[in-house]
Amino acid sequence: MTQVHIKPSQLLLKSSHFKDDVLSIRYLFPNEEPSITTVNLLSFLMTDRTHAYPTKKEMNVRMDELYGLSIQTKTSSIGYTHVLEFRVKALNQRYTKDLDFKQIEAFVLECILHPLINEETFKEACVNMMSALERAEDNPSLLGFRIAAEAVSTSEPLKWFNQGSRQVLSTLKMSDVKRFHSLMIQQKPMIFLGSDKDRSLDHLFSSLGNHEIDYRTAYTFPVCTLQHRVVKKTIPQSTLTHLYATQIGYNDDDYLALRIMTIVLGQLPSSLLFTEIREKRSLCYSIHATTLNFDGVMLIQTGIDSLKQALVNQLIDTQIERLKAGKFNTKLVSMAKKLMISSMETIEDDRSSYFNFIYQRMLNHRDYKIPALIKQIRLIEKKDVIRVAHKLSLVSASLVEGEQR
Amino acid sequence: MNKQRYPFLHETYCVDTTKDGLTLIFIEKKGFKNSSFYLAIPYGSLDYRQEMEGNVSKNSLGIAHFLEHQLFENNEGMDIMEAFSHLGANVNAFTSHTETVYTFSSSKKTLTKELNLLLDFVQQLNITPASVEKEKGIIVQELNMYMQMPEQRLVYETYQSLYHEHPIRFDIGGTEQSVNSTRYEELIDVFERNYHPSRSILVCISPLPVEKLRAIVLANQNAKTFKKPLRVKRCDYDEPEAVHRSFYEFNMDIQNSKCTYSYKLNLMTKDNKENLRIEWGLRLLCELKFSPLNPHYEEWLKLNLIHDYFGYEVECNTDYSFVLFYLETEDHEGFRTLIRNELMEDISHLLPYLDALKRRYFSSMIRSLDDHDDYAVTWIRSYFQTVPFEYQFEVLKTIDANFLRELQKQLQQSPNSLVKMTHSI
Repeated sequence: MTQVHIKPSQLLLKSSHFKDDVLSIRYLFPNEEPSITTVNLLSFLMTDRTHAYPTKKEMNVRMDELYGLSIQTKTSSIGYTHVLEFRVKALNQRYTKDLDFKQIEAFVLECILHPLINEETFKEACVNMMSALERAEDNPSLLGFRIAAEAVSTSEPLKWFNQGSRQVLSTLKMSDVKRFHSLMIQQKPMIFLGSDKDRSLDHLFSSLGNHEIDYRTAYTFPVCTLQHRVVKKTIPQSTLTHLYATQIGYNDDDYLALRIMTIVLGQLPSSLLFTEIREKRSLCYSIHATTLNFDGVMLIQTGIDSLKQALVNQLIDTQIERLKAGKFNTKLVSMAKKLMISSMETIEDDRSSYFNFIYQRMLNHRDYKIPALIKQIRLIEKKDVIRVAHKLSLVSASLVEGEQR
Repeated sequence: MNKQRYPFLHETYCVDTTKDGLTLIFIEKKGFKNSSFYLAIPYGSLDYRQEMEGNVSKNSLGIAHFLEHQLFENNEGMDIMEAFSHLGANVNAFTSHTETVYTFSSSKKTLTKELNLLLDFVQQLNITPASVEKEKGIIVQELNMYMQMPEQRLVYETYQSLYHEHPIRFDIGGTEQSVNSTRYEELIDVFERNYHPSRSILVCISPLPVEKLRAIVLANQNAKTFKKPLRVKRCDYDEPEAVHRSFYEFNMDIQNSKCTYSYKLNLMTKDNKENLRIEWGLRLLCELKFSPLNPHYEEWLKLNLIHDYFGYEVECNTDYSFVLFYLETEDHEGFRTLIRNELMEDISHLLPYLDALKRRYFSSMIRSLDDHDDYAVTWIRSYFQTVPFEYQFEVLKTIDANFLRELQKQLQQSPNSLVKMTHSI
């Protein structure tokens, strides 16, 4: 894939093998309430109806006329920054001569600049968002993570759920959302386009705002006193969550070693957690470790029988100690590096993932050239993994406790 | 090797067969970095009872899924997943109602070891009674994980309500009891009956040259000898036309109540091309009637009869077919009335949108060919159902207003069932 930088806030990824064109427009906000909830509510409204297409039917008919154009909004966190992405996928013109990029551009501008925000659409968006937030609480993994994070966060962004808060939502007024939208469209967004043609984004760019925003992004979560939380639910399984402060930030020299350590611990079929807890003792089906890269946090989660929680807790602690003591096979480090390199090498196959990767690197003022990153990964050794493991500090543990079986 | 070109899709396929009957599909995806391979066997959860030379064998529920787990055991000292990790490849597998698929992906330019490993581990079972016992706890936790997901549980109870006998009413993984009673000998038996190359298909989606990949596969297969394939088939079920439970309510620890309202259809035929046409016809009918294309939709929203957690699922196979509507609501009677009333309404006023809707689906199908998993699964299912792959893209053209009216009439007359999952107080 050819990367063509058009302007500082525009990136064109040119490739001829995809069947659709992807356009991604991103805005930045502070990762705190009530902004998070307002952004999420706005994201519901931006794909619903507009001034030119004031009914759902007219919106749908227009998208069908544009050969099943798909529009989607997505919000995510990058440390202290909250991102709203407006993503459009359109069938490539190889398959239809009738589809003109200008038509797509016009529709995108209509959705971003003129969403229909009135009593009716506002009320509907609130209902939909409230039920989505309630459904999120039915997900034991998400619930386990949220209660573990809330137990130890004070002012850190990890305190907030990036999809919003029910409490804040119930206090929001339509005028708040309108005012928020007016400010948003003054902002200069970042635009990504994946296409097979050298398209100009100038019209799109000049039609959107030009106010530059620079938010603080990644941070490292502080070490604090260990907190425990338990929530009981009438479900057949218990979800155990361990949250660790890694003391390593996204821009630290040890960041890639931390990623490799996490793979060794809990992302490979032969990782320490998978081998000891699933394969040797049949205590779970899934167990994994993952890093929240922009918060300086590592998470371990597993679904178990509640009667086995003491044993599983002890086994998790033992694996962390093994890492620190270097009691693991060097082959695991080599496999982890292969896995990470392979995912880097293939990231261009999924343009949305590639856009995310580039965007995150850019926001953190890091180089996003894949070969340079792969070169750094290759240099990581077992001693690096041991060093970063020593920085891990368990800060919170939660149990969404299911029925005893 | 037979090369087929589909200019309207901008795709070319090469089709071949090995000496023992393994079907090979090569899809050259220039420009992509990743290669993906899928070895599929037409043995899924619905095949737990099979007929062979007049005899019926009844195995434990969930045996296909158990076997999938066991295939990953022991590659002479090294676990299969670990062996793939050593090669820098990601391996995975899934069991559905009708097939089991083993897959790996890699960005490497030479894939001899990886392809041989896939073909070898799927074509040779290497288990022990101890490995079978060890896997039971893991699978039970997997079943528990699914059962605590509200949507999975709701669909499970809906199938239980619709069907008396048909095995779709059971979870793909079986039950805790069936998993714990699965035996070592049983797994060997079902493997030998079903995992023959002549029943399998290998789909290769890769930017690498087809000839190079083909040579690796043929060298592997030519060096092996297989027993004669057995003639096995899934048992037929004497499923009554009526639903098993017309209303069922159960409690779950969730925030909001959810319902399904489903129609059990008797439309399926032995011709899978026709089943595919019926399935698409039902999908188009439901999308016209129960999406924003219908002016009533906004009225329903204003009256709080629906919100965005509202939709439908359609399936039509040789031995079962249904349309399932779902909604998050406390008012299950209101939900039932809404669906019933709308299905009684004439569709004439919605027909002007039919062509544009077909265009939407056609476009979405073309775009799905950029996703290796979607692409391979469509190929695998087309092959096992003996439906030409390209028919997936042609079927929409065969559907007209009269066909939709016919389907609507059938739907109106079909037995139905309401399932309500109430939230805890």
